[in-house]
Amino acid sequence: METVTDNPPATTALDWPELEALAHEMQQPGTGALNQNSSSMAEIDTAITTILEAGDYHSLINLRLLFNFLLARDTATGFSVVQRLELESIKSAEKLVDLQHLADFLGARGHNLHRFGYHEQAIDAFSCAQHIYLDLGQEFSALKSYYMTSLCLRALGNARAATTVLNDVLASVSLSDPWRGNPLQVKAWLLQDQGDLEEAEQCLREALALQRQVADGQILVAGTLADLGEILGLQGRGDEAFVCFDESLDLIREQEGQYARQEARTLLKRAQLLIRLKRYDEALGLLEDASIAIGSAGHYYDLFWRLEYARLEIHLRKHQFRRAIQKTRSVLTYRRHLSLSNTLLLKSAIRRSILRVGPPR
Amino acid sequence: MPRLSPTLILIIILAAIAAVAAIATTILETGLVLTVTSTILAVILALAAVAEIVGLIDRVLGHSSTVSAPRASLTNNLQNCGDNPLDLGNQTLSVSAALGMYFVSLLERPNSYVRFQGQLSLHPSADPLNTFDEIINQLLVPDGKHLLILASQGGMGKSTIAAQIIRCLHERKAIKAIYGDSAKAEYYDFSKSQFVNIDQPFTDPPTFLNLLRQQTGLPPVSTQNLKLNIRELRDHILDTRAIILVDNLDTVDLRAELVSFLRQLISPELRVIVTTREVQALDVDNRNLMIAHLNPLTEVRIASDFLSWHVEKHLVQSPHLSRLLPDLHNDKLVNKLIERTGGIPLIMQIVANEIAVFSWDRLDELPENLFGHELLAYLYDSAWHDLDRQGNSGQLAKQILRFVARYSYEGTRITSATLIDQFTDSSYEGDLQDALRHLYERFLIINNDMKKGDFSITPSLAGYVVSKLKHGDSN
Repeated sequence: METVTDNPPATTALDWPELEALAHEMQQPGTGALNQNSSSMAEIDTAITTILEAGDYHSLINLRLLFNFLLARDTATGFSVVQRLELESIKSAEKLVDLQHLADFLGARGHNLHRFGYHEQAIDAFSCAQHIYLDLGQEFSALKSYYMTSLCLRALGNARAATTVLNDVLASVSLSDPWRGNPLQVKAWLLQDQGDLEEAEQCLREALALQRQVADGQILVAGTLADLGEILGLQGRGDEAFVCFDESLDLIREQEGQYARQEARTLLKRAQLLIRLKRYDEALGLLEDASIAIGSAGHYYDLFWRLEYARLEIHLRKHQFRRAIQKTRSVLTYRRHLSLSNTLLLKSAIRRSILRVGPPR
Repeated sequence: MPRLSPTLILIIILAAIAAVAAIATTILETGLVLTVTSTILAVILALAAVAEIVGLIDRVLGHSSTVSAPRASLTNNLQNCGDNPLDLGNQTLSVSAALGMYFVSLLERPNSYVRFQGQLSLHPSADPLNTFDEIINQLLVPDGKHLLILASQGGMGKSTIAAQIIRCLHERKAIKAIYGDSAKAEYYDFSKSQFVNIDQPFTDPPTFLNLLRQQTGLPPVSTQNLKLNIRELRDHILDTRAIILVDNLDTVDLRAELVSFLRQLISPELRVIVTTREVQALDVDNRNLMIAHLNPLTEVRIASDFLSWHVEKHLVQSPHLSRLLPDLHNDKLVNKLIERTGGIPLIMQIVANEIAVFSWDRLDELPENLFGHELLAYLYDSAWHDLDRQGNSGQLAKQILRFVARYSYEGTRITSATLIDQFTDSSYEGDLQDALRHLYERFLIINNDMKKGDFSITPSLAGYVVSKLKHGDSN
């Protein structure tokens, strides 16, 4: 991983050793520093201001590299200080015509926009990153940015375009490349969308085998395990599904608070299985935990509307129509904010219900 | 008997009109299209009315609560409810950092609260002898009164009782998250050494609404329509067992928008606690609302028990407190302490610590014409100047107070390691242990963990320290 020392020296007089110590502390599992109002965030904010006042773009980039983990992991990406760091580092790279960092930062921004649910903006960011990587002759990095557009296209309901991208990507990556696990995972989602659960399961198992080979790939594995659990649950293999969910949560919780969104995602899938098993109160408990986990992190609206949709489903099944209406409104509030189509939601809900492939995405 | 909602009434009326129109067009043979349209409209409206009625039945049968705690029996034993400290490190309860480290420390501190008869008064009360239990029962049951206003002057223990209530609710699985804020009209930016005014104090409903939206994960408001924004929050927070805490609001006007706004949020799963120095306009509809006043400790026996508890709790930090124990059975001395302190628990604690260091003559030195927050300010002033007389360790003690005050606002835990990192270098003269001893002796600092250290100061002291900075006392 690129470090501060690989880059031009910082010129602004900041206490870099102290910032490095802070970064080290914040990366540790169980740290209390991942808190929007913490003094750690205030320190980072102050550093950004100091650097910008000095017009020292190199230092801004160095600061961004030091705290890269805040953007790469998915607890703090929504915090205002972290967002500020992201945007200012992109501007700095543009000003310096530092194409390498610009591409890297745009790619990371695309990931975050996609996590939040701003899929169209994410596609723009990934496309920009892809073009810059190609100009730099970094084909694999360009491919990875191109691949990420498939997730966004799928989320926007454009399965055909998503499939085209994925097929291109899979054709470009060797069968034994551990990274292949990522596009395979997305392929599994598309197969699930079409109702082909057995093939989806196959893909996910293949993806898992590859991802388990990746150094520090636990979170990738956790995400795929959650997907596999969902597929197994849809096929009526609940016991196996719960094993997958448990393993997924164990891997995430080893990081103690660094991956709140991933944890909420797994909890949601587990809750969806519990709903099918008519264990509604248990499901509501998990949905509550998921909401609280990502609530303070903020901005994960794409996940939030799905949590609300799960609650809506529970209330309908329990004939609690007033609550169902309230949750319908809540789903629409989030989707309206994300400019997501309600017609698409309705079509997807009906189609997926008929195919028995789970709730809409 | 639940009321019919305006929506349901409107639907029923429209359905009736559509039905009459359908019948009329049939009889008058005005045309098939009109008849069919009217009939379809009548059917749709009838179905909507049925849905609303089913929802109404849900509420009547009590099915509208889904994730609430089990219905608490009014004979439930709540004697020790909330006594166990919370381990927030295990994330069993999500706490908004905006509430500050003092409140967090109250949640985590063992034996932080001791109950006394007559400590709380509720108006009206069904059970004056067991007010705490009555409050908890109302907050626990899904259809109970879920808005509690705790009112008293500073130093009476409002935040302590609020924390105890929250611990009890968490124990009973009634809540999993705390949202809200400690009211501040301004804050001190230590990095810039200046006060910053908060343009829109959060007593303004739109501002507070935005805060809650941010804390609960809702997007920013897309419209200035407050009613719609409140509805979005209510829809979103449904099914989440939570409490909203509004701590240290100076004055609550019960007719004011903020209380009205808070009332709209409460639900079977959502409770609200407001702590305030003053409540105005008591003559209001107290449906869903409880107003509890904290009373001074005026009985000698009760004051004596309270002081015994204080000594026992803080003996490790302040061994000299043991000198007080024999005197706590002396009714005359205890009565004098009550008279001079007004029976305000925090003031009694501070003065008791001073008595333990000096003697009971200390009571005669207290100004006779000062009570309440003025007496508290006098005591803080007196302690502050006394620290000046303690040489380098006294100056260091003041630095520690400023440091802890800062981080109390910013929501960061202060451990022994933090203090060692901050204060053990050549720029600080004075011994850290001596400085802490001065602070313990004067009950100016609280340490919840004698092994690793977990330091906090009361909000009133934090406010005092910050006010000293405002007036240029950086020494």
